[in-house]
Amino acid sequence: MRLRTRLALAFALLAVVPLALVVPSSFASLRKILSEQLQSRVQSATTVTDTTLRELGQSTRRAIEELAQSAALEELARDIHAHATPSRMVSTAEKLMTSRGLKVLSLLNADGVTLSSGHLPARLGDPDPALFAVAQSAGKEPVAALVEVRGEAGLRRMPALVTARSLDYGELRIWVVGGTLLDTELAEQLSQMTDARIEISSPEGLAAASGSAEPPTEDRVFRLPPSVEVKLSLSKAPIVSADKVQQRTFAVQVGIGLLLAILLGLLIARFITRPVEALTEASRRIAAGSFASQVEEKASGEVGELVRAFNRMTGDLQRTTEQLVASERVAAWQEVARRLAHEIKNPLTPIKMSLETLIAASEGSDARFRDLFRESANAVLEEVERLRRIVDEFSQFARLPKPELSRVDLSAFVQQVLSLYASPRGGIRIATELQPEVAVQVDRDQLTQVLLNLIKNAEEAVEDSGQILLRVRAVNQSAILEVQDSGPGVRPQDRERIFEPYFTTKQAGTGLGLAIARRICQEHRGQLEVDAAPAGGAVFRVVLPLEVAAGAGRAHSA
Amino acid sequence: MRVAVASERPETDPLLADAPVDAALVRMTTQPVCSLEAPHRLRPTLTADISVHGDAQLVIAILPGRKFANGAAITARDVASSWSRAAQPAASSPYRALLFPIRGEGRRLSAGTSSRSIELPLSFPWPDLATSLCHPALGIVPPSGPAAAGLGPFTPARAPGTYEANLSFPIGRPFADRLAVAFTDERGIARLWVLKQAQIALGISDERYSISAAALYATYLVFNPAKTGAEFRQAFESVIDHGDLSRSFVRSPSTPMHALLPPSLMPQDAPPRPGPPAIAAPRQLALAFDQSLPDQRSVAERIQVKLHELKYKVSLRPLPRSKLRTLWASGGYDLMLHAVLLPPTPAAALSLAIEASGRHELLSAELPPLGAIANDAERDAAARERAKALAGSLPSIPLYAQALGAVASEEIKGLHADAQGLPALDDAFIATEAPP
Repeated sequence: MRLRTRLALAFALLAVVPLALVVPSSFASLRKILSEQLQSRVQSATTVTDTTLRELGQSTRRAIEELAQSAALEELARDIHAHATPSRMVSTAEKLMTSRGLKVLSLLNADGVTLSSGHLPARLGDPDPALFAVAQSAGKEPVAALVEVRGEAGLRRMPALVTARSLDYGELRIWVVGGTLLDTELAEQLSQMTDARIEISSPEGLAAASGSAEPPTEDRVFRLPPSVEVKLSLSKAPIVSADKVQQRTFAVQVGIGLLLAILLGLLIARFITRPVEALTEASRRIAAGSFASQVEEKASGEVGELVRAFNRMTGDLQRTTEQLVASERVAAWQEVARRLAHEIKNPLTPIKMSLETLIAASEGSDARFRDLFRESANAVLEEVERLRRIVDEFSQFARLPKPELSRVDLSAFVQQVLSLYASPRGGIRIATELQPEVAVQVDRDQLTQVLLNLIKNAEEAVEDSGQILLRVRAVNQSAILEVQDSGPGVRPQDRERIFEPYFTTKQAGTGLGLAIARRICQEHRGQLEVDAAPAGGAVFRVVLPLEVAAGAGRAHSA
Repeated sequence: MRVAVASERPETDPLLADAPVDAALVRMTTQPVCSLEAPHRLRPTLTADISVHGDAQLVIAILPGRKFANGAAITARDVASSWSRAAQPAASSPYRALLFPIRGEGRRLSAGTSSRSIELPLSFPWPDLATSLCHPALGIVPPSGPAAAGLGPFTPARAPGTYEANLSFPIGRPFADRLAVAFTDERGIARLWVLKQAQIALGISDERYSISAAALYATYLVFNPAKTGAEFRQAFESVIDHGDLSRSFVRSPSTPMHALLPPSLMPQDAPPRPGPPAIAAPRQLALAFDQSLPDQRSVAERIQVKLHELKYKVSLRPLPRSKLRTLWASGGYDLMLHAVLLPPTPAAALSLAIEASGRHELLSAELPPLGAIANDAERDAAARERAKALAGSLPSIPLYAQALGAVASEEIKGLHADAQGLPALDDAFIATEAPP
């Protein structure tokens, strides 16, 4: 991972970590506040509901007590005693009920038969077991009971908070049973007071409901004995929603912060690492041989000192390298001159001796002068020819032209060279293993010279009988041309020297063939190597850059 | 003469004013061509006589000088149009059954050769047609409408609640010069009575009635068998006590009905009540009733409560009387309380009961045999027999019959009820003490 990336990530981490440490605790505090607010609301609503239900019971009890003491019931008793028309009593309870704000009122006789009903006048003359049971219960506290009332679709049973009181008029006993319905109106009232959803349910199911509370909810249940429940529900959705909003906000903030931190980190890291990267790039160039690389970045502090030291170092390195190269060049030319002088000096001795022999013969009037002259002249001519050849090859070595590159299929090239130029002596067999479509960019003539030199060397190595194997293949991004012979091979100590100019192991060699071949390969950004063949003999390997990636082809054997 | 009436908004259209209080008030201002002194004895108002010619045609000749209260002469066209109102299907009136024997069922009545006579060709002999024409619902209304001054002993004055004597009333002017009518409820009547601010009270429930009126205002529960199921009549009879309804939920004077016609028209005994039928599944029914009648509301609620015991879910549907009649005429009801003011003759009452039950098509089969009986007593007996026979097949259950409860103070004399059960306020007078 690059230094700039690391620095950017470090900045991002520095930005996120404080948020991650601070925000959750803030969330927890806010959640606690909201939860406390909800609990406060629940407590308030609970108190209001409880108080309202208690007051409802108390007002019901007061209303029934007042009704029991009213003159209206005495009048009713007189009517009953006087056997008045029952139809006059149909609406009696309804008027009493309405005037006292009750919603349930039944006047029952001692047998539980309805004398008059306010909430259901048509009950007149019928027993009302539910309310009679309330009348017969011992307590005076209001209790919940299910009473039948008129509904839009017939009668329905509704929970009611009722209480009873008995009155005796002589032998006549009248039960006054009344109260209030636990209906939608009450639910709406409670809902408005508490801002909560109110559900009133009996064993027969939900009787009334009002308000809404989006789930999840916080519930409280008030039980009205024996079997009616008033359920209060307050929504916790705002808390959940606030929590989600906070989480989303936090996520967005972290995201934006992270993004900004990364961008800012990149900018700062770029500012910081630019000299370092320039140093890295300069180092890379120096490694590639460009010793003149200088870092132009302006930096201060330790990095600036490093840049300046680096520039000083590269300057020193360049100067030292130039001196070394100059020294090597001088040394190389000294060596070449030494060897050239040696090569030239070798023919000079026979020439001198031949000329001295001729001079001596001519002064002595030697009868063999004519023969000696001819032998000496031939020797001189032979040595002069040798000198010319030395000079020509040296000239060729020194003036090797710049290669003119073209695309060449190496396998086809080898087959063409073999068919046109190679003519092995008897007993020498030339074989090939050529991978197709191994292309290189080379100077065809120069590569031909290399290949012919290698084949000639191989022929000379195998002498009269043997095998020469030419192999073409592609390995990774390199094209490889190998010439393998079954000769004695090259001694390990000579394997590097044979590429030096004027080094030869042969009687008639000039020692420039392989040097020229290696130089041609180097001019093609390639290499010429020698190695021992696995089965004995030598293998010369030309390694050139592969022009295109060639597929692994199947080798052909000749 | 100060009159207190237990009605806060009385109906003025004779076709809709069939409740006893409404009919009594309408009778003051709008009367038919005759009135009934007894079930088969009529007293013509506009004509010298109402007679049937050869059992095929009834001719009514309006006497000259007969005028509405506003002085306009009464013509045959006024009479024909008044009857046609009842006969038209758009009126949705059960009282069209009274005109059924007239050819075309009375829908195409026309004046005769002169503007003073009207000819009523009959589809079949119907001796009770003359008395049927005395029904209050067939009151003669002026061309300007039923609310205007009509044919009655009194006429509305400009002051609210005041009725002036109609000096051109054909029978003769009423004794009272003016009626001061207070429209209130029973509690208000009681207060006025105690304060002696009312001399006559109409529509009250009291055991000390001053007049004896026939209970001819019959209330039926009509039902749609397709919606109620075949077992409905048995279910209803098993839980509803007609006597209980009449006694506890309906204002007196009322009497339970156990037959198609009320007890004043045919004797009847309470039959044994059947047991409840097996109800396959709960039924949801709507019970329509007249929202202006507290008695019907009480009865409807009682029916709701008692049928609930048999798993019928009955919803109550209070309607104005006109909409109730429209609903009845359309047949689009489940249950409906239908009250009609029956005429005092059994055959005509039977025709109206059949019509009220929604079986208009039965009239053509039931009435001609009865009309063929010329003797009144025999025809009445035959009508009672047919009423018994039809009771179980008609989609209606007779519930109770009511009369008008009327009380008069001691100084009021001459107050009586006609054969229709309505008080004749024009015959009432204030008895003054003889000078010492």
